[in-house]
Amino acid sequence: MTGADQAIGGDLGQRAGQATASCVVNGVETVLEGGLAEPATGFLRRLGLYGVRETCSLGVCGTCTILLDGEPVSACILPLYALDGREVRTVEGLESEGQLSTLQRQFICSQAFQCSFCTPGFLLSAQALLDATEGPLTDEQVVEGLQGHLCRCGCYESVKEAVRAVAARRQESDADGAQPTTGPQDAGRAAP
Amino acid sequence: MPRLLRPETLSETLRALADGGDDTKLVAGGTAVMLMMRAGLLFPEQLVALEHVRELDYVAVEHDTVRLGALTSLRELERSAPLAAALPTLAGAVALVANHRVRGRATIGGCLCEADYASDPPAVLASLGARVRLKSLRGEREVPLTEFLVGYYETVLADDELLTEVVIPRPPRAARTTYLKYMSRSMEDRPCIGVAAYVGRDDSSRVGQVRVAVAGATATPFMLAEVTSMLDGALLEVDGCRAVGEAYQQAIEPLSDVRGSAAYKRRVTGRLVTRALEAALSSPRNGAFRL
Amino acid sequence: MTGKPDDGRTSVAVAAGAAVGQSVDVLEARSRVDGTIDFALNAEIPHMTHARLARSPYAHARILSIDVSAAEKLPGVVAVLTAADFERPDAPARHHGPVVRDQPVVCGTKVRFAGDPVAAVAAETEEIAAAALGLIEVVYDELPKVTTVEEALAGGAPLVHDRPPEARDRGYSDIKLAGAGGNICTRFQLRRGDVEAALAEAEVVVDRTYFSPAVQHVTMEPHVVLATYDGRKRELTVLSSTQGPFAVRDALSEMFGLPSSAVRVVVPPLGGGYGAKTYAKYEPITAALAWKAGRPVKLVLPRDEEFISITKHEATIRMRTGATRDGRLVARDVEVFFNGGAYADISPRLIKNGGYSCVGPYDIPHVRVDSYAVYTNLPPAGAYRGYGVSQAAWAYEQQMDELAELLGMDPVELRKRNLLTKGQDFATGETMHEAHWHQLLDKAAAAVEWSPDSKAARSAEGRLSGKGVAVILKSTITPSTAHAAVRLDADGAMQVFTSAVEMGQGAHTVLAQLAADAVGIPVERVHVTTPDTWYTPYDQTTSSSRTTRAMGGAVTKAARVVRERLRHLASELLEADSGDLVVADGLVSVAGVPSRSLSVAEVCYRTRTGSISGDGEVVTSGGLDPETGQGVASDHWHQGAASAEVEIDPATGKVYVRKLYAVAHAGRVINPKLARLQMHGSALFGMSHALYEELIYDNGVLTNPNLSEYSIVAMGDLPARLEVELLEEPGEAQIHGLGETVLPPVIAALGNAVANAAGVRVRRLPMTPERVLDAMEGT
Repeated sequence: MTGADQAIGGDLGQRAGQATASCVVNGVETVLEGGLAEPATGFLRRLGLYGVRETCSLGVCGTCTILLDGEPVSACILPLYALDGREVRTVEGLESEGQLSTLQRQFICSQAFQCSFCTPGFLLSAQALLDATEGPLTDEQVVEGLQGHLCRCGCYESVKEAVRAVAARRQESDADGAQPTTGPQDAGRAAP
Repeated sequence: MPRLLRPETLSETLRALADGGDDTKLVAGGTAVMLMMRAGLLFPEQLVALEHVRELDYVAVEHDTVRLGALTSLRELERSAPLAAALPTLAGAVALVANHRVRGRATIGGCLCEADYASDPPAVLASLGARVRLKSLRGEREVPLTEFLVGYYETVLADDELLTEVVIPRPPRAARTTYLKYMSRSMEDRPCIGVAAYVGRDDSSRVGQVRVAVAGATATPFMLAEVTSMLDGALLEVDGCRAVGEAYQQAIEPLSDVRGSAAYKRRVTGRLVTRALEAALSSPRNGAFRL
Repeated sequence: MTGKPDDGRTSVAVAAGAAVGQSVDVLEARSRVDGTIDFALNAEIPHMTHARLARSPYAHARILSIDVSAAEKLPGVVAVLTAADFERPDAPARHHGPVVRDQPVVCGTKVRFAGDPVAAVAAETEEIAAAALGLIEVVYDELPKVTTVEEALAGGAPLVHDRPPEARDRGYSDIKLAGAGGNICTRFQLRRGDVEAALAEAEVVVDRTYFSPAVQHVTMEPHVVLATYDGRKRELTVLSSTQGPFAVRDALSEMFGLPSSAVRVVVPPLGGGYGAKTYAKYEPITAALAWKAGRPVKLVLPRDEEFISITKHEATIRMRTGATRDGRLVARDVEVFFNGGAYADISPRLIKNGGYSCVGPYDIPHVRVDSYAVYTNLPPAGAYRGYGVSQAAWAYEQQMDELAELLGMDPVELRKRNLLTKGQDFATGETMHEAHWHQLLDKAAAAVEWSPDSKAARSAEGRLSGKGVAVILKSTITPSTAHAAVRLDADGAMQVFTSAVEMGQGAHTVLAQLAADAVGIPVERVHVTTPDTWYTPYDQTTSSSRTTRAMGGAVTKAARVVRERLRHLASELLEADSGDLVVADGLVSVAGVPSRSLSVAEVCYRTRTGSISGDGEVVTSGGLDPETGQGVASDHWHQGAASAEVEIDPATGKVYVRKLYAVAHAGRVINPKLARLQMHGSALFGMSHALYEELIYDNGVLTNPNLSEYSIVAMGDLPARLEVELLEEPGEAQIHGLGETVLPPVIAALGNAVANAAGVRVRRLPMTPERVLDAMEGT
């Protein structure tokens, strides 16, 4: 979908008085390329951001979630032109200087995934939830904040644990210095 | 691939619509339009993207009315403290729509223009007696929401018209409102049946106007004005709530969908109408609730 | 312990150790949270084209003509594949199937379900391929169709397959094709004792029919295949999101008439499988399209097509159980009808497992089971987490509660009077070498504070509450074969060569843990290879909850060979008998003399050893007599139980799950945090099937092929309490797979809890509010 008559640059650029339309993707100024009304997923994947995964194509499952100016949106139903002039964050943008974020580390520690296909979406919405709140989070707050994210492997309990663990610790110390905790994730085990 | 126009003002938008004809499609948040385009149900030649029309993005809580700019996102509505204070049931119901990603993009105007039958806000707004303001280069008109919505995904909006504002009369202080969103499957499903109830009341225990709108069962929010109007001025008690519920159950002709058969929706409608009215009368606070 | 003789090919017992039994982080964990994990979805190779499939809109129709000329002329279209291409002399076979070759790669004469592929397009972009689909003209002559088992088995019913399909030349030894005819694909039968006489004498008989609908796997990653056919070398390379690399290799090598060495199947990590990706699925059509196009072809299945790719079998189970007044089961007579859809896929095996499983973990002297795979004009049904057992358990565990009610007996007590114990024979005549059901049931009952007079109660909000329990047994694929190789490199790092597929269950992590402990090196030094049929040893399949035990056993044995060789090399250097050497944490030392030790690297350097290799295998045997169903159904038995507490809103009939508890016999847990997630996953699948999921067809056309109209469990649906527990044995113990065990009992426990709360029983899944209300109000 990159035919000249469909290219996004022309129309958008003229409006903004620029040669091209662009957005900031994970901190990098990036020219928008593609059909103007095509879903944003294709453009982001062409940038090599394979953490953006389309699967329901309806905005229902949350797998293709990105943060647009800090707010979670479904890239599969987001027209490409809507990125113009905005700031986009994908899962690849959660780490800094090669270090995983506290939330990412806690996801590993709490084993908040199995196949992990849906994990980028969970991480981004959970990060947005953490950014918008302070202090510990209740179960209900996490469920509310992560509504619209499907995990067929059924890791919801571990995801809740992970997000709540990060929220609980952020008061105690500088978040970046906090260490992941091993939650109560060991299954009950009994001898016969 | 369609051409894209991105007006920045209302007048530019109306001009684009007047020039565009019926192959022009308005896009607000895009959540519905993108789905329709992806499903091959819509092939517009020209898209008019409204996200830069900032003048239609507001929540104005005034003495007698609440006015919502059509391009206000559902997320903004759910987060608006003045709206939550003035119309807690509407703010609460909006927060139950779809998921936070969709609410972040979807606008109240887009939601009403999509006219989806299994949608929460139209029923709640209908129960509140909301009107919508429609503008075009030809002029402007204000239409009750119940007359704006005419069928499945169908409104009275003309090709050159834009829904600019939703106007909601502020209920009297003692009025009670509630919205019950009943999901027959996952809690993340769309409503099987939604019931929005409005019970006007003065400071005595007499009820004023009563309005009940049902979502998810019929093409447009289902209301039985002739039944609820009989309650005006009456003492609404348990029996009255039940009578209204029974009347709704008798009169409604629901569709069948994956969330319930017509017969089931009919049965549940009656019970939930009763329950919503009882909740409106007995609950200490107005609001929206998941079932 | 199975107590079976060790012929060198059986599984091994393992004890907890430095890695085994520890909640170590999964291998490659970082790539799973930073977005870089390399799913098949990301695969790209030079000159690659993109595929889309043209599918039938009709459930059953004759194809009068297919015209693809306009599609071929669309700029950007590279190739369009139809049945006509298979008439070329060098063409691959047009039919495939793991048991019978009944499934056309693309349909030629007729279509058998709404969605059956009639053509495939390869184009420069997916959008062009999609646009080309609209230019393909197919003229159909619609035929009468059968979509239900009842329609399919009616006299004079239209035939889904006009002629009986051909069996594969080299099928699976446990599958006996019997009873085919009309729309019956295959039948399985089990005969034990004299059922008619026993039922006639039984003091109490319950006779009921139970129904489970077709549902879909909904893997978050769709099926993805990237195929390259090198016509010059006559080699086919396929990258696929499959659970069975060797099954795919064999299917393609038969279809293309190539030696298996000329077909290479590579499998990256999968974004979920649950059975949907077993056996060849979209590899044949993608490979044939690549053959036609002369260029690599990538197919990513869109979500709506995922819903018609493969389903869980719809099942109708009529079950009669006879008992004595004091609650001894005397006889069970079962007719099981599995709706297999248009093609056999793996139905002939699944109906066998789903058939004998109807006996449950009970000692029943007289049993008759007839289990049928029935062809209909619906999308094909195949493997699904639980593999026929969840449908069977839905029937027999509900029937146990119904029988208890009839007897006026506590349903837990009724079960306890009949549960199999160690050393008893199952209905197939095989001896139960392990039996933990009493303990599992006790735990499940205790978890919901079950008491004999547990009665439905009404909450303050007017909701009805109830409790239910269920206990099940599940077989594993038998016979089965797993091979593995392990290579310890001179720097002390180790490679595990396995064809076990990592699909999120954590297979590669637990294999690394087992390998690490079996040699005595840190788990961080272990790498597990991506399955690649050119390089990694044969494994039958990653399914049937078999990988940790079967492949884990093969890897353990291979690693033990390496450890022996390492000790042998070190014995001269350490001047000790190799039997006196221990290997731990990467050091070889003399037992009891830790100061006399050498690192692996030193041992290798000083003996000029470049690497140390070993291999291992686990090969199980068994099989059932086709006439009597007697023999060995399963190498060992998965054992699980569940309990539930629910509330019902009497106005709507909606079921709210307050508590779910699931327990499984694990023997040895390799990684507790991964084991727990397998249990959570199974429990939530069960809850989703019990309450929400159903594929709904209208005229044979699926009406809800998307995640808005098809509802699955989400975070907001979790019960307030979701608890899982694993039973372990002390010391060295056999590993029991955990991938599926508690899915079936969760569905049945929810059914029993709903019946307990509502006072009436819903025998049809899912237990929608509508069905519950209808049952409660007698409409």
